[in-house]
Amino acid sequence: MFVNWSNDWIQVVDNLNDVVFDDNENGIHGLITQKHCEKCIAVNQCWFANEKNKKPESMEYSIEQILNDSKNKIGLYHYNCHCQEIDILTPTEKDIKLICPEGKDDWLFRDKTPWIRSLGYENDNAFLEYLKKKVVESYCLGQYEIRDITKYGVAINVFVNIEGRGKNFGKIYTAKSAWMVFSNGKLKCNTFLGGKAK
Amino acid sequence: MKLFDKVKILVSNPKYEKYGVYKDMVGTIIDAEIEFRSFQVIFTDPTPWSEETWEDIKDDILCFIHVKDMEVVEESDCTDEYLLRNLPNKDIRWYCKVEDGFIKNLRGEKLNKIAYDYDS
Repeated sequence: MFVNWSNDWIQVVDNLNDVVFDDNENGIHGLITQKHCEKCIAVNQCWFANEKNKKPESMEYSIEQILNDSKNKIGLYHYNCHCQEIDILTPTEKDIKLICPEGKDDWLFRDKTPWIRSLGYENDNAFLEYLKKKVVESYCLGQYEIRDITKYGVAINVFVNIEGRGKNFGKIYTAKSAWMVFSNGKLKCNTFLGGKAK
Repeated sequence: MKLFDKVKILVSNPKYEKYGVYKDMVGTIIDAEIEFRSFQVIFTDPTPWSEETWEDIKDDILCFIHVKDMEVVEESDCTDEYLLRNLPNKDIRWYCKVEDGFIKNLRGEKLNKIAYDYDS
């Protein structure tokens, strides 16, 4: 079978560190970054589109730094960093696992019902499933931006195109849906609808 | 202090301000779990969403706030069972509420050693 390897998507891998952000044990006890830098843990084994603002920015070393810091090994994100970017297959929708605690559904309906209705939808499970499908589609198409990388993880905004219904039929509303990128294709919901794309 | 409580920010802190979060702002705790002694809090534009306000409404702000830097202004009615269902992997060991000066999990175990000293 023909396999379409490309450099459109990458995974960040640190072969010397198997700790990932969504490791429950480490999360509970807050030891997740022990001996490792926060960024390297947050991005370890995560999938990113291979474009600026869609993957962690690598360290830019000046010629002077390279020449003067000969004691340190030049790494991807910092000196002596072991992270590497490896090419992966462009993820398909079935490769993505959404982690959506029940409270996220409740918050969506509690906070965004007028907005959902103004687009011609009802605040029901059908809209929720529609939104989840849109998130997965958009992420796989690389329609997202990195919002932040901290010790709390890699936060992204996924841009989802919502088709208007009823009197808004024919219009497209591009909304921001906020998620955390977890390892190996997992996305954890921060908030389903967090704003609109400019 | 727990999931869906409304909270007021008590401090001015550049690490929050860079996200647009300032002293006295009121937001809502949006994650059940406490990470690094912080809850994730969402701040929403109070303008009602509608077709007319779509262009003007501000995006939500999501920010992790240390539990010592906020106070509850309105309690939610979340039960322990509901909190448990919202914890990662539904693991009861996650710290998820602040009571009587202590960060606690649903087994009643305390994270900080000294009451109201949340970094102890």
